[in-house]
Amino acid sequence: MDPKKKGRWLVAAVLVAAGWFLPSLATSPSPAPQKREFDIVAHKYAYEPSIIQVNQGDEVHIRFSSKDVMHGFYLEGYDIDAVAEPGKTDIQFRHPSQTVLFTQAKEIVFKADRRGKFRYRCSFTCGYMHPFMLGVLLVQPNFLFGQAMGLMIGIFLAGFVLAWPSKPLPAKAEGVVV
Amino acid sequence: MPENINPVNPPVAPRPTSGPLAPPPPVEGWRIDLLATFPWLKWLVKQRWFQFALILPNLFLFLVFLVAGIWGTPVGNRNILIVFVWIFWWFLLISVLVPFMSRIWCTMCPFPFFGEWLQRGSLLTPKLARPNSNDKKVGLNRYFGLNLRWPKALSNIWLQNIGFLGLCTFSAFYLTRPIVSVVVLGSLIVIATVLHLIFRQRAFCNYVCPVSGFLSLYSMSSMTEVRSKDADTCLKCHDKSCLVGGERGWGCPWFNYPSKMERNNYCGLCTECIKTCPHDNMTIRLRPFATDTKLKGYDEAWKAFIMLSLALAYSVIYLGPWGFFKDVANFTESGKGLSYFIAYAVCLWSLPMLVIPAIYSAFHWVARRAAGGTAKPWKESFLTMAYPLVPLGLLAWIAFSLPLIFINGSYILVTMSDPFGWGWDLFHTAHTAWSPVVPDWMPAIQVAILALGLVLVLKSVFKQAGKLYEDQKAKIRFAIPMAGLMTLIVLVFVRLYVN
Repeated sequence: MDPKKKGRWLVAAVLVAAGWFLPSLATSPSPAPQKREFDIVAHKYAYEPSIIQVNQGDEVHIRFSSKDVMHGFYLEGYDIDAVAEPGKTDIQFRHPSQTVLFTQAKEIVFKADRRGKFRYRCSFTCGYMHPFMLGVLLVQPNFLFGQAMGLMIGIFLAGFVLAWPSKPLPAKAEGVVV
Repeated sequence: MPENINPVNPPVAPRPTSGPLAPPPPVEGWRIDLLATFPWLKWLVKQRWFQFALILPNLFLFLVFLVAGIWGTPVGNRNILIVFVWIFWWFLLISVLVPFMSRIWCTMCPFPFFGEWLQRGSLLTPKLARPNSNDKKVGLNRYFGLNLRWPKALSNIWLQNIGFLGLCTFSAFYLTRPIVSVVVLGSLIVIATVLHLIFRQRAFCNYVCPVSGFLSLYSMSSMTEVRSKDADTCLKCHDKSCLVGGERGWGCPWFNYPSKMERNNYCGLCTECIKTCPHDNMTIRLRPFATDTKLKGYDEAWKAFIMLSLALAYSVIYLGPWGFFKDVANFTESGKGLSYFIAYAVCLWSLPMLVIPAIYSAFHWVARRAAGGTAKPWKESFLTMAYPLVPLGLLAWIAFSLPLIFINGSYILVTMSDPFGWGWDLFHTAHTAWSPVVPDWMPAIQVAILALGLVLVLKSVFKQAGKLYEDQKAKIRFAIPMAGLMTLIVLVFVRLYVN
């Protein structure tokens, strides 16, 4: 590969890498962990609130209930599954990777130690749109989002570095026979 | 628009250099002749029963699905029709079959089976038109039915665009209710059969089938193609059997002139041209991803807008946490009322038909202004630069479809054992617990797919811009707004999937 082309590929790679890594460096220090409490009410085919946001390290307490039929609360990435029956304050709870059996509980409690976006989904068939019933837990800082945005912008810039027209070669290089 | 060369009385001209019988342009990039590499594959596709053998199991499954839809449980995720068609088949189609095997689905599709059978009057053996008879014929073959030509005004994919958007407006119903799926899929079979009896060959597939519309668009990106091996052999060929048929096979049912085919769009991979060619000059080749880059009409450009917009809309409705959108799409159950649904339908139609094209046109206008100099006509440049939306849309659909299979894949095991929801346990998997596969990794996987998509799209933007502007600086100035638009679209998907 000619050195100019090599140089361009190098710059392009640096831009893509910078797009991916820089957003994770440019964040403010995380706040001290707190106890965060939420009341999540499920109904066909959504959760209220549909998006909850916490900081990494927070202790999350969720009181989960249903206002129409039985609904589930399966939280991705946290090994949590709960089922709420309408009219009842207690829920059925389990860690799906450990057991298929549910035990009775008052609330869902976990430490938000993994950052990013996690969906909570209905795990109890509740009607036609059941597979699409979901909510979002955002554990900040959501590095992946910043990194993904940076990556795409890096790819955009890298594209132009690679596609930018080369300067024409100087006249002496154009096959002058001495 | 399909390469609609009528297969009746093909002209045989000696070595033309332009016009419909001119040789196809030279190919770009590498090719692997699959039929030369794998002799067993060549043997297989040359058998008259090849396509029938692919259709038959699908037809059987399809009938099982219809039975399940009518008499099985109305609970969608417990009914094999919903789980296999809208979760398994959809994922397989968009993520595997189309990107790697072009329109192989059309080879095995059960929709036109009955119609084509009646139209041909034969399951396997091609029928020849009898001399001095009143046989309905196309080329050398004999057909049954009215055998009318498809109207010229409708020889494009606008009907498919409208049909697909219409279907997608009611997606919340047929994706979740087995009986609605039966109505949709059953209607497609009936319409296909009727149209086969009225119009010649695969008019239904080429101009009406809503699935075929997006398959035609995205097959441009596919890594497989059916092409002639040597253009010269085709030019010297006097039989033109690929076009007019013969005793070895039917003339191309898709209205293509196979030896001159330069795009995948309207090739249904039926392999008839491979069977009929007397010179063994047609083959199946492997090629780089996103090789066909020419959109030939606004109908195809709008298909790209429609597919991209629907990927966006569905990501909000089905993968988003907002109950409001699910309620309006599913208005009969949620009680939201017809007025909300009408507003939803208007928005769903406006996005691909007006909003996205308007945004695209604005960026395109800015790009032309930025490039300056002598520009190619608006239509040519509009269509040329709309092409990058094809690989972008395909990758966006893959990113959308992945969670469907990874999260709901365990329903496949359940419905395999208990297809109708009647309490059967055929393979001892009926009681498999719902267990999503790597759900927490899904945003990262979607980002990777979108990043790959953006790389392909930007490469394509610069390549397409190069077709419009010879001057390198003008090309770059033109590419900046267009590449910016594509990147913005990807960022919107990132925002939806990761934040």
